[in-house]
Amino acid sequence: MVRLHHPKPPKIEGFSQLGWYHILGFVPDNWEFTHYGIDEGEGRLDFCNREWHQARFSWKKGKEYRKPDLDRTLAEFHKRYLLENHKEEVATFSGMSTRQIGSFLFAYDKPERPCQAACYIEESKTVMFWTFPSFSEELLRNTFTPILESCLPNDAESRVWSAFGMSFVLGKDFDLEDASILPADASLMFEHSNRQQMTLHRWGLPSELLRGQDLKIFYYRILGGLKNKVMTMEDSIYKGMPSVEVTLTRAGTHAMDKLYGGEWSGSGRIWHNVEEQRLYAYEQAGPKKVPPLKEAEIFS
Amino acid sequence: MIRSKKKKPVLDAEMQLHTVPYRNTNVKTWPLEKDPKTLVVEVKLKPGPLLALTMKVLKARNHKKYSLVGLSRTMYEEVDGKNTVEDLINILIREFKLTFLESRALTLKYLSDLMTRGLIVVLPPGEVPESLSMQKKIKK
Repeated sequence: MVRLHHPKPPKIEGFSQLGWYHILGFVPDNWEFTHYGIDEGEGRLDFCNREWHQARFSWKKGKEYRKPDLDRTLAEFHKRYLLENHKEEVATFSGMSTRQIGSFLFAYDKPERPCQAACYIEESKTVMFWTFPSFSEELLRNTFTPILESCLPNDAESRVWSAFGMSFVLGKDFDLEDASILPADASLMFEHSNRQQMTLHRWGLPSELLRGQDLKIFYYRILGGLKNKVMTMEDSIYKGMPSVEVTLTRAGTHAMDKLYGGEWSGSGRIWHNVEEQRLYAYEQAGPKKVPPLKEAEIFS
Repeated sequence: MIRSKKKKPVLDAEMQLHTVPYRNTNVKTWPLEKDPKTLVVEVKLKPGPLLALTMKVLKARNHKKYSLVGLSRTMYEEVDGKNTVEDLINILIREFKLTFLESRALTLKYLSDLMTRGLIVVLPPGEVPESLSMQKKIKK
């Protein structure tokens, strides 16, 4: 059964939302991405904070994927870890202690050893894993349990994306085509199967970026760099924040060919969140027959 | 004769945070007359013997000037021989609401740029330079 609306996990104090392809949940506020995968079929997200590596989330999707024996898979993973690090314990290894936390099966061996949690989503035939580098009862109680309990499959018709400080909703048919993640400068580029394109940005240090120029000039330069032709620009207020609305055109594509693609029209907006000290922007463009997405639905 | 390559000192990530950047005391600084918000930094070039001779013949300038404005000036001024790299990172987190990894990446890149231009030197914790003159440090 296909769900039409994305689930809304309850907010947890000290945790921020994570939404990426198949997963929707919460991770601690101070966790940051150090690796991200843009393939829907298989990939991983790595998280670090001031104390370095904290967790890895990985997923694998398969058309013919039969429901895996999660218990055995987790034990196999741990056996491989023992083979590499504690060979003497492999012969006596009889399995891991497991418990169900939310939709995940959590498995652990001993304190200060890596532990894992796995979950299989029948609808999208995807298996998901959380791997934590070190187990302790305190970490389990304060960190792993809230994460695992909050994690839900992100498989509704509209998918929540919440990463790198950006949060928005896009249709399930939008694929993450490219991502450019630099310090205080993140961009995510999506494309629909009907070739509609959507790009979202977030910048830090606005006082530096806007030194000697206003939002209009800054955004005009950004759009020019992304091969857009700006048609109109208008100052406005967005959710109480100063913003600039634009209409634009860009070279479209016909299949893979740019020569026959014609010109696609689109729109966009940049706004300055003064309180957060961040600049946010989005642009969308697509073929004539494709209706543009509504702003209120993207940032609902 | 095969020269053995000198091993570069390895600093782990934690140690990196506790290193201390020092300013090159041979660098001259003054605020720009037209725009006092801009700090001009002048560093003397130390070319090799052949390049020095060429520069002398061509009467080329033996110094280089940089203009530091806004955040680049603030960060340079915070390099006082007391603040560690971690302190500089925390300034960005506090003043600009950046995350730790964002701030760390920006600070390390900026310090690396200043080092390449001979404006600062970064030393491991506890290693206080005998003289803060970078030229002397390099000669050793």
